[in-house]
Amino acid sequence: MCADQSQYMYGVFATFAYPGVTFGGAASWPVDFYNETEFFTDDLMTKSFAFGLDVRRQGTATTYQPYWIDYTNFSGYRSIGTAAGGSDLKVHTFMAIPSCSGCTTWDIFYDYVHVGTTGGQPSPSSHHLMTGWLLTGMYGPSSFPQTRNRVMFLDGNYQFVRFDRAATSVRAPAGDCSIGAHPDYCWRFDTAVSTASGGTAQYVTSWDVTKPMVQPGTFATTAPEAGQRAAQDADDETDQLVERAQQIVDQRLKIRR
Amino acid sequence: MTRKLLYSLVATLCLITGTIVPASAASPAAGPITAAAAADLRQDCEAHRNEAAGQRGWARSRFEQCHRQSKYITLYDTNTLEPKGHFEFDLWTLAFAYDGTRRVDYVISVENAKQSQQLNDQWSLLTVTFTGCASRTDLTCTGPQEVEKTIGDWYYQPHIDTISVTSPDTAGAAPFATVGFDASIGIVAEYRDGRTRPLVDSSSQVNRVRFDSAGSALGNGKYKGTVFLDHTPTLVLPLTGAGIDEEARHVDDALHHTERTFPSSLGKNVPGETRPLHRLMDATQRSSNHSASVGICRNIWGDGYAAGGQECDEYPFQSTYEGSATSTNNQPYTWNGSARPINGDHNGAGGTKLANFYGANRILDNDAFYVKVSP
Repeated sequence: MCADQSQYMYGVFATFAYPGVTFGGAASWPVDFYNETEFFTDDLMTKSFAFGLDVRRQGTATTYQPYWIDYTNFSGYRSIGTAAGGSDLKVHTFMAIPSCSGCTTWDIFYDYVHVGTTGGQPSPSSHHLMTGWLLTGMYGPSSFPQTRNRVMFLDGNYQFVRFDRAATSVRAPAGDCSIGAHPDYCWRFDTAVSTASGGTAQYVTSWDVTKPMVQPGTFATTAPEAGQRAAQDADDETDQLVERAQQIVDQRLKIRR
Repeated sequence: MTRKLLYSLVATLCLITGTIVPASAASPAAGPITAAAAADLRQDCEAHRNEAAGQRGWARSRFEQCHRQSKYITLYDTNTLEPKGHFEFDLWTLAFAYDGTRRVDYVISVENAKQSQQLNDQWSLLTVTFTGCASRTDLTCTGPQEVEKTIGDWYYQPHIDTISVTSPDTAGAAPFATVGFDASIGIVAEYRDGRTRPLVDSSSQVNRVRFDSAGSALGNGKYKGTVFLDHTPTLVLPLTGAGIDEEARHVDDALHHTERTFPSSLGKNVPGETRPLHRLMDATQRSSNHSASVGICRNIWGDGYAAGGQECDEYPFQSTYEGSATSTNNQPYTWNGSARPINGDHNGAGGTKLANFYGANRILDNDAFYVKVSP
């Protein structure tokens, strides 16, 4: 899910429960599923920092590692604490709060503990944010139950507030699950944007994603449910923005661990 | 050297008037008060001389309070209003209340007493009064409540017998059988030559006491006890090492980093550090506070906030009038407080620590206390 708005964002809050990820088999090389929230600090969306959870499969072992990363300064992937061998099922909370008023650095908090500070960013505020899952290496034979990324931004009054639904767009690409397709490239996400009413607007409470284990030919003819494949109702402008975000993500994946 | 010279002078005067001679230190306090306890409180009281000099003195704890006033009293001629001389002395009161007993003891002394040279000792009288007991049927006072001596006699014998005030276990107001008592320690300074105006200060020192029999409602404490109301205790929460790390961090964020807390509101100013909290003992209202806080946890972290052994913690605590419902007329999103999921064990240990604190300090409904997070 992407949030693009004219209102300034000065920080970000994201919380979600770590899900139990199921991998269909051993991984010959590291497979990483990232649940990441990225905060862009320029309008071109070329500078940013991010945090989230990395669920890694290597061989038959799975680890859960929270992390943060400063893309702007290429300062690398920062592990937060030590990796766990499984999900603790708890909701975990990530926050980025300006180091000071007007600062272009942000303090990163994980479960309310300060875990690091970004390098200097081009701007003390943002108009763009992205949250959700990024998968590498094992698309088909893997699944996880529903996660709910509950994301808010810090406004100019230093209050965390929810995004107006109208300022968000979503994208959830699906694989090829036609009859006869290769199982490794057959996948889908079930997604939804949960909202709450606030005056005349709808505000985003969470970006909900489930990844079921699917096989070719088992669902390909089934039309996506309304509201689940929300990318399909995005307008052209949003499509372009999302495509661009995807490109950024693809590039960024190269510099993760 | 100066002190020796003064004593030499006084000793010389003694030969003439038969009055002031240096005396030895006071004898240990009587009753359940140990000499060591009295000496320790006295030493600390000296270190807090400015507070101790006020009318309400200095309360080191809910069970120890002291008053120490250095008096310089000038006496005036009744007709001409010209100064006739002065008295100097230190008026000490060490007060001890007890957890487990409805009793308070007072050790009062007049120390370093002296008068100006031109005053005759036999007419130089200082009376110490202890008032507050008269007409009371809910308490009993034993010991001298008025002691008159010459300045010289005060010098020789600075202490008066310990005054004890007790209250029957069942006396007092419901629901906790509380009895309030204000002890006033006063002085009357006189030069009895028939032409000097006396100085009367009947409440030079005031000591506020409460007896209670709160029983099990108190929490983790004794059935009954006595406290000094001028001490507002402080709950100290260590950030690490006490098994309450997440609880302490939450309180620290609420007090010092409100932007990290929810509900997120403009101008949030959370009490406890500079403004005290006040204990709430009503179970229904406490429950309302917690329900409102759980609503915040659900709203921010979702219905699954408690997964993995988490619990919705709240600060100010549900057991305070500053809680999320009682302080907001059940509008918790306007609350000057914070709710968040924390480790259930830490929350439980924090709750036990709070209950122990309430008990150890005999904190009853609406009693004030502070909160401090220590590094």
